[in-house]
Amino acid sequence: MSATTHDSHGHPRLAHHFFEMEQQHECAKLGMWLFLLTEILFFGGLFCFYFIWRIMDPELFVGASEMLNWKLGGLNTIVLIFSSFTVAMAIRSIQQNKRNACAIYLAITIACAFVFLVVKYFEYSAKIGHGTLPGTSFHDLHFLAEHPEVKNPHIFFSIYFCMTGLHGFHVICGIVYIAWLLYLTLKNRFDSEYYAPIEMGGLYWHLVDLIWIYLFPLLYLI
Amino acid sequence: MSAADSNTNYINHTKGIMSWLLTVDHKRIGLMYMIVVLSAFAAGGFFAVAIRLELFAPEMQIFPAAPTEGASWTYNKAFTLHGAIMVFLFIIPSIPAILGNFCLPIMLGTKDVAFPRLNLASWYIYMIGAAICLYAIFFGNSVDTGWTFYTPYSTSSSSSVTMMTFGVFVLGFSSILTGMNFVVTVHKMRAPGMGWFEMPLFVWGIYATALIQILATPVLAITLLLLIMETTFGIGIFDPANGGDPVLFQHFFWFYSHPAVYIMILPGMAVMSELIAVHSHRTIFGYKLIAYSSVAIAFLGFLVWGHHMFVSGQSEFISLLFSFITFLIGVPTAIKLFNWMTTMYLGQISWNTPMLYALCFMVTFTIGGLTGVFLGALGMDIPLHDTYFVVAHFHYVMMGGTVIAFLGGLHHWWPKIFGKMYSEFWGKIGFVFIFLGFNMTFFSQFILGQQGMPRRYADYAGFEKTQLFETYHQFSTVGSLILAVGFIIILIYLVHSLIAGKKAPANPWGGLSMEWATSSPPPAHNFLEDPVCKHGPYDYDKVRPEDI
Amino acid sequence: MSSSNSTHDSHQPHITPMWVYFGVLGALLILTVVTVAVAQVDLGPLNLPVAMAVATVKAGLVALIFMHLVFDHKFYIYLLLASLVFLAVFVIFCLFDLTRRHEIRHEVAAPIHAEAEWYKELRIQAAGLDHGEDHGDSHGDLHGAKTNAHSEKHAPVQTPAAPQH
Ligand SMILES: [Cu+2]
Repeated sequence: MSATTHDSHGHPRLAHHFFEMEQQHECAKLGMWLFLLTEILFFGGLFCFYFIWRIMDPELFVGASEMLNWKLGGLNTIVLIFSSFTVAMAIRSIQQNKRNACAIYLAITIACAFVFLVVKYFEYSAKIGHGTLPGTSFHDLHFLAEHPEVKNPHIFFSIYFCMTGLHGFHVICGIVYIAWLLYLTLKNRFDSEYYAPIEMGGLYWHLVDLIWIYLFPLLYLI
Repeated sequence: MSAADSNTNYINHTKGIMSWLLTVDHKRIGLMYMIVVLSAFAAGGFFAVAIRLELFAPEMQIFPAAPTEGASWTYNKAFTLHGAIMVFLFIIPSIPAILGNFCLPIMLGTKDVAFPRLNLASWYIYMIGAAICLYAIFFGNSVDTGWTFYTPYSTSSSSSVTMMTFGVFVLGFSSILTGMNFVVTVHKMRAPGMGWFEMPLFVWGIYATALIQILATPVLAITLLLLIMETTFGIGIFDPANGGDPVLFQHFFWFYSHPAVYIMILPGMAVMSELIAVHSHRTIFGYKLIAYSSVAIAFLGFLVWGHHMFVSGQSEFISLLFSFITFLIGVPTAIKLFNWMTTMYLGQISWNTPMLYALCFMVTFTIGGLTGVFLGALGMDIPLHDTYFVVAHFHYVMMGGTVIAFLGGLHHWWPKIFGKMYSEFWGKIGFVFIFLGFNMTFFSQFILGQQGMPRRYADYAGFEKTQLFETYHQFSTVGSLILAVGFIIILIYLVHSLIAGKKAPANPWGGLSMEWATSSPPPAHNFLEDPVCKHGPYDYDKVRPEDI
Repeated sequence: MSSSNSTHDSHQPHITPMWVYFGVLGALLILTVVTVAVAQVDLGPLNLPVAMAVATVKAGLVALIFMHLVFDHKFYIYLLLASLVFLAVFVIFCLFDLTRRHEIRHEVAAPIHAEAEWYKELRIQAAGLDHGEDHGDSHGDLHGAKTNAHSEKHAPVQTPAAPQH
């Protein structure tokens, strides 16, 4: 057990209650994975909502998903996938002590997140303009006239707004966190021994991407 | 590790209110939880007594006869607040956040939990959640939906359901973060030499609990969020007026809340294993079985939620499945109980207060558990549903299980936490009051329920059996007052021990797990030198308590 | 600190080769195109499983490579799978109930998933609406219709039973 000795007590970022950097890093990673687990189950409730109505009333989804612009959704998918790639590259860079490269990749990630939000903003405002709102505020009469076979279309848009809204909230949180990481990277706080916060940010950002990978086909395409 | 006579410890090594509010020490955070969680218990208890007094006689006594406009307190609000406060503010955080926070890192031989700042954050999140709930109660319109917030009533009730559910939503995050912290601590922070099967069973129980907290609580969070969305935007998931399904809310809610029952009882069982082994001075029987059964209960607990919904219109097919799996949970529970009994056999039992609570648990929890099997049976559940039988059942489990175990654990670790011994004499007196009061209060409710007294009724005049109901209700109310006196006695002698109690030795009960190897109260970083685990927590056949 | 670090004492973080990341990025982009392409074909009830399958392949790539699950301790994969199992239990049990309840107890469960009451009025308005016409001024009536609907919220609904705990 290497843990009995204190010889690795050198790194300035080692908290007092850990024996060594590796233990600290492993703790952070496991903690982050447990957090991701809670996120999966958190979104899981919404996926449950989706699948139940999808299976009980498929026509609703086929009809209503036509209202969403799959081109914008697809663009956002590509943007998020690319940002997932850059954040992975950021971790790879800091593992090799390349701080500048890491900072650049983090900056690109943030930029992608902003692009995502801007596209989302245009989508939302179009929906709001048409009255395609969730729940009882739904009053898109054109949709109703064109799709008499769809019953309760507001439920589809409830699902759409709940899922993308919660996802968008996670994107915003991700921007804040990654911006903070970028700041710390520029202040030379990270190195190949201590980069657990960047790795945690990466895991979080990949999860945001993962959820969108499912949301895109489920909401926009089918 | 016998530098026990050092005078600085975690309580007095720094001073001032800020040194507590900004502390990252798990022991201090445990104490801060103790203060607020026990205050919540007192508040919940206040409502309980109010309910019991109302039921003393058939007609309406202390609450307005009907929920009229402007009548701020109604019986419905009283039982809702009793339930919601007790469940979300007291039982769920009680053992994990107080005793778990204090003991778990010391038992593992580490200086702190894996994420000390997160630990402090979860205390603040608890406080924020509690504050939102209090605001809803006192400045809003309170809640009258029952602690379960069932739709469609909760989406149409004029009470402050949205704010209250938001408070509970916030409290959920406190629970999740505590659970995450414990799981990581157990996985990565064990002292050198401590394998999975050298951990005390308390840690196993808290670990299994933490797994449930992580996996189930997010579903509660999304449920409450969707409920808030339903009330504010009418999104059409739970409210039939908007095309939703109220029974789906029950699925969502119980997917969390049945496992939450195990968030409440597994820590109780965890405490029990410690109490029985230490006070019987005997190697625990079936260590691995107890450990695995905790995890088995945690897992099976996720597959039974529908037993709350047998009469809700749920499909018969799924009811059958849920009923069957409910019976299965009896197996790991019984394994634990038999192992505790076998541990006591041929042990050298010390009849001190914690052990008395342990024995009480074995009686009352068994009654609660077995009546749970009755209620899990499809046929039995129909006549007993929504009667006092159910009320008695879950109080035997939650109070006869968790609260009794919590009291036992509190007495067991009190000398460790504060370094003071309480009066054993008054401890036993307090126990007698609790035991008698508890059984009087709730055993009578089994009979009430079996006779057909419905739950949540404030006024039971005009029934065929009103006379009979009144007798049992009065018996129950008297019992609840005895129970209240018992709690006051405990409060008085525990506080008295802080001021005038004898100084506690490091190992008053002769335990072998690591918390007894450090001084009472422990130093700021738990141990003066990094401990190494050399023997199992219950190796009474190999190690003498003096030698640890 | 005894179980996790037992295998390797000198810990070196796994540095994934550059080409792997680029390969995954390319694969993800191609699969995105595949998702869109497949969705244009009407497979009827198969659309959902096919879309989910493609999404799962993409998600698998992200989880295994980007999130380092293949290179890490196996425990993390189990953790992820465990959460998915619990999620599946949740969704499947709910679906079991909702789909079967609908068939067996049609008369009791009928109001659920029927078209919402306030909705029908909205549809009547929509039917009277000419497509080319600017419907800005119809918003006023609409809100009126909605408020009415709100006050009629307590239409006869199936009262759920009270909880057990
Ligand atoms: Cu249950």
